[in-house]
Amino acid sequence: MRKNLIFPFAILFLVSCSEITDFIKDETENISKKGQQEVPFDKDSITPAEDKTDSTDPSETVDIKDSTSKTQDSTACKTPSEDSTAQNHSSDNSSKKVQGKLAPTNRLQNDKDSSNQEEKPIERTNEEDSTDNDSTLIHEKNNELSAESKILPVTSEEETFFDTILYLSIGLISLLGLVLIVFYQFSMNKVLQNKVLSIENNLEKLQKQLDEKSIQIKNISSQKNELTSSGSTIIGKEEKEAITAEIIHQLNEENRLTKDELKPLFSAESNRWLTLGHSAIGLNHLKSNPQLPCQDSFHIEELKSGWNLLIVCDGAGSAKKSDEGSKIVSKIILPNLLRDTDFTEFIDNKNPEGENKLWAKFSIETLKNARNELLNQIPSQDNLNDYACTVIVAVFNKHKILHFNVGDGRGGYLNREGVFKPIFVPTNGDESNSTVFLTSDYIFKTSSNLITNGVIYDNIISVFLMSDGMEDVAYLCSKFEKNVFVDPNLPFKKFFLPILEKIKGMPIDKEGILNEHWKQLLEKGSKAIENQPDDKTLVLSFLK
Amino acid sequence: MSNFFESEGASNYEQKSLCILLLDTSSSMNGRNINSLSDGVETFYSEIVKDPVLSNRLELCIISYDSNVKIIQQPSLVENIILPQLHTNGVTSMGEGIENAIDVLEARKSWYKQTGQPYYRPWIINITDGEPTDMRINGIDAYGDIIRRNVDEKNFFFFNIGVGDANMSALQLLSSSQMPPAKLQGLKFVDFFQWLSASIQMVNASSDRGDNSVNLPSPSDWMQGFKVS
Repeated sequence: MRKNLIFPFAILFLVSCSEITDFIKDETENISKKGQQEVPFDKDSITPAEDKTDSTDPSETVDIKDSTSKTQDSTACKTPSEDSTAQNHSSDNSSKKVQGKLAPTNRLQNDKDSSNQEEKPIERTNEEDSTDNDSTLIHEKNNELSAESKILPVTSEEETFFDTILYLSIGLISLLGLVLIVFYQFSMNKVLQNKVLSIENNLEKLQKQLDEKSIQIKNISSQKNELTSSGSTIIGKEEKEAITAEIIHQLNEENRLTKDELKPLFSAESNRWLTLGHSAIGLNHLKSNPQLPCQDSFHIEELKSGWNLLIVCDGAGSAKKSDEGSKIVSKIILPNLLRDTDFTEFIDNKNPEGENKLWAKFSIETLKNARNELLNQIPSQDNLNDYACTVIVAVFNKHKILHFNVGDGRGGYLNREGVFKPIFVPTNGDESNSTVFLTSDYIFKTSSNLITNGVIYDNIISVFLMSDGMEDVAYLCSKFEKNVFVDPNLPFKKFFLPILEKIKGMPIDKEGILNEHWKQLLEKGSKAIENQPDDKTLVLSFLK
Repeated sequence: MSNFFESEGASNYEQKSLCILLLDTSSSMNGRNINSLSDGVETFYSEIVKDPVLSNRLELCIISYDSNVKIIQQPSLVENIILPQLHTNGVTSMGEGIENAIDVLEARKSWYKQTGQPYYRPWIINITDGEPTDMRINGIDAYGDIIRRNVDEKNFFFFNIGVGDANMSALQLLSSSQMPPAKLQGLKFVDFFQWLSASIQMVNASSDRGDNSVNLPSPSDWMQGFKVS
């Protein structure tokens, strides 16, 4: 916008400049004309020879004035009717100008015209032919002219003076305008320059910060590399699997019972299952305010046809009534559903695939019924999820273990070869610490794979189930070697073997005391057991 | 402790629990403040060493901030740690300290994930006796937003502790609603760190159980009330 203003100002300036120069021209003309008017007076006393110069002067002046008159012909045409003597100060400056300038020329014009306004011009023209008369006539004429020009120059002087001021002021204003605009541009430039400087400074600062940050990042990533063990830190999937398999194999080898350890544990006469079980409250429950009850529960029952039933339920920590839920499910609902089942019907040694299918169907049916029955039993205004709990069920004899479970916890057995084996792999909701419960309705979706079940065929001498509160102590469940984390899911030999030996060594009449020892073990068998924040349940059956 | 059966417990690799101590070592902390803080950190250290589970579980990291930020102890089990001396100097570059703490935390978490091991939600404990000198006027809100976002996404716990003349209003801006800043009673660092180790264990245990929330033990031993305007 500002830039656009330059053009009109500049144009004004240039126009006024030209007018001023014109003026100056006119002024010099006037001045020189005045000078010319005076000179003839001085030259009166001079010889006629100089008249020639005089005569040339008028002609010169005539020429000049002719030229001016020519340029102003257009205006002259307009104003011939006007009396040149009349002091017509028209509002139009240019016509004033014209009149002022034309004043002397009008005379000549009139001379040329047929109209005789003055005697003297006519005389003058007549006298132009004769040089003798010329000087006097010119004298007179010049007197007249000077007399007249005294009048007119006054007006033209006024006019030109006025105009001068006008043009000068216009010129000044436009000059001022130009100067102002130029100043403004300069100042804007400076402002912009300052801005650019400050932006450059900021850029520098930011660049410094960036450099510092990138140095920090380098430091941290190098620290990270130091943290992880030497060698490559990123392990491919295949390598991971290989390391995992190696670790598990190694642990299994170390965990087997030696022949010497195995021998005293069972004989051909072993045919009686001795079962011990207890649920101990976790340290967090004791410490919490208000104190939470133990949310674990379990059940032991001998079924017909030599089958044994073990159940463990772990109530959800966040569920308000999960202690009631786990009790009802483990001690009432599931036993009622399983008690009258003839489990022998599920056995078909020649058809393990059929076995598994049949048992899977039964497992899911039983859990569905259990959930519905729980819903029936609780007060109608209560939410089923307040009673959420996990479930582990094992029905077994010397050769078979029929099992199903929902959620976490562990289960395992010992066979006659002295090998400890897991019964199942615990299920979690996803890779984080979330757990699945009997009350979770999505477990019954066919694709869920959240109901684990199976049939195990082996020579069994001991079966045990536990809630996850005991797994840290009784199981090899987390190992970290060669930058690979593994869950071996392996019953820990050094935990179970002493127990089995002690049970084996206890005379029948004193077996009652084992219950008390079992309770002690679960509550404060070691510092680790005592400090276990979660509720702990361990149920163990041994073929004595 | 009775173990009639004489059974041994398995030694399992403990799920890791990272605790980052972010400590103000500006010159105002000089004298009694820094000495008490050092005592407190020592208490924390010995609590962990005594406990067989914690000593295999808790990874301790110590970052100090004054005019500069220094990671004076990388995340590591206590058995590998020799407690560093704390020296005071200069101003309070808390902003940079927070950034460093989060970077170290993220790096450690990615190592856990990469090796396939589960981990407990880490903790960042910020202890100061003043206010940050490296945050521009609205910068503190930016840091607060980062902290709150991470807490909401359950990436870590962030707990601000003010000592002496600490600017509690500033700490309020750096806190999430579930864990407002706490003012230490005098210089009861030892009590605080005892409470901290118990709380961390409690939170971890409740996480084991799959609880949605847990009540921390009462902080009345070490915490005093304060006013914010």
